[in-house]
Amino acid sequence: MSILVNLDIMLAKRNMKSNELADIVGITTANLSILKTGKAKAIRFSTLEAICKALDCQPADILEYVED
Amino acid sequence: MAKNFIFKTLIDILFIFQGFGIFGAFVLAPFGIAKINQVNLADNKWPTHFWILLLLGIIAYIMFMIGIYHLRKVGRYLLSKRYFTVEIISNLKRSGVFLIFSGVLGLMGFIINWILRLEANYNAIYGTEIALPFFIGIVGLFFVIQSEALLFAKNFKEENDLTI
Repeated sequence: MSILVNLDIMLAKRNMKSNELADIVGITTANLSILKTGKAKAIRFSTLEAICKALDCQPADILEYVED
Repeated sequence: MAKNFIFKTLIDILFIFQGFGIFGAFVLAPFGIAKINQVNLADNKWPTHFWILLLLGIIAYIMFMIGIYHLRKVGRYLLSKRYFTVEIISNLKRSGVFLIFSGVLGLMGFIINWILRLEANYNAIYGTEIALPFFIGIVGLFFVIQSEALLFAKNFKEENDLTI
């Protein structure tokens, strides 16, 4: 898939663990793992908003377009 | 859930009764209790058309039973409420295809019988009602369409499940 999810990088920058983010955002760790591994087919604006709020970042910091 | 259970039960009853019927026909036919020959012609005097009609009827019946067998499998998965699974979709499609074959063969039998009636004034055998093969074919086609709709729904569900 040509959209990369750089959630790991942002989590490392903010020194936050996956389960902490999952708790703040209100999703399961399993779903967060799906998102981190790039298996997710789509992401809701509400989830993206919550992640950006929790990590204090912009959507572009999490999502990146890479040409195939 | 009750509807699924009733569906599975009805299909099972139909399948088992058909099995009894076939067994009974095999057991009783040699004794002449069940009259299979309804043409009032001795077997050795049957023209080729009659044999073709009989063969068509048997193949159509076998196809119908295979269709019902696959529908039983669908019923089994419906009971476990797994609606959007490959098993339901593939078995529903197979059931539909076999029912379509059965319907088409039944229609062919009707057409052959009709031609016989016109040409030779023969009124051959049983099971030459046109509405039944038509209906079986329509139901089969509906099952195939329904399986495609379920495949779409399965893909949508998967996509929805992977939307975070």
